[in-house]
Amino acid sequence: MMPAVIDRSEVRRLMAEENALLIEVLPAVDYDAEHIMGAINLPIKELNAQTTAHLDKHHPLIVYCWDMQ
Amino acid sequence: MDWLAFALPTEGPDAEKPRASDVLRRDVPTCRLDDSIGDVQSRLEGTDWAVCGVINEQNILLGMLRGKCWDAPPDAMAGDVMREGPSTIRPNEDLAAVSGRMQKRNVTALFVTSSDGRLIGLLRREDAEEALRNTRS
Repeated sequence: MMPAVIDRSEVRRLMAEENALLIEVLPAVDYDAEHIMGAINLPIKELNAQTTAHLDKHHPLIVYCWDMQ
Repeated sequence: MDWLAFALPTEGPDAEKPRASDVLRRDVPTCRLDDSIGDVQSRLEGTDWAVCGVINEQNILLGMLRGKCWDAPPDAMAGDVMREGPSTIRPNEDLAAVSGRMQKRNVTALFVTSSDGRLIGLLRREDAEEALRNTRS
């Protein structure tokens, strides 16, 4: 499935209705300071087949950063 | 970040820092562009509000009424006398940083809006300073 850009309303809907997993890709220091409630941390530099193998792909996976840049 | 600007839930130590959303007044009076100054003043009578946000049907902040706006004739429309495009802040802004800026610029209050311009409330400098004093004590 191809990734799609979604807004905060869709994020909330997916979390509430489809048990989506939120993944923050910022560095751990940023994640540790503050992150969206319920999100896990997978810094973008560490994203690969091994570090994502354990993720449940039967539910939506939402990746987010500070903004869209 | 859009999520923070809409005061949606976060966690972590920085989530505990006081923000504008913790102290803002959500009951700031509002009116529409075609409301008369006289009607708006009547509604503010007896309250401690000297400022009013001018909003549209989508709750987008368009301007504000304060100070010399109230000297306009009672039948003048809010849209004709308001101060357009008031400075705004987002609800997630760090309260200490905002308070410092308000002190430096001698600003007594700032409207708080979402990132798409919808009015959320008003942050008064006195409320921000009191909250910060309480946090430090």
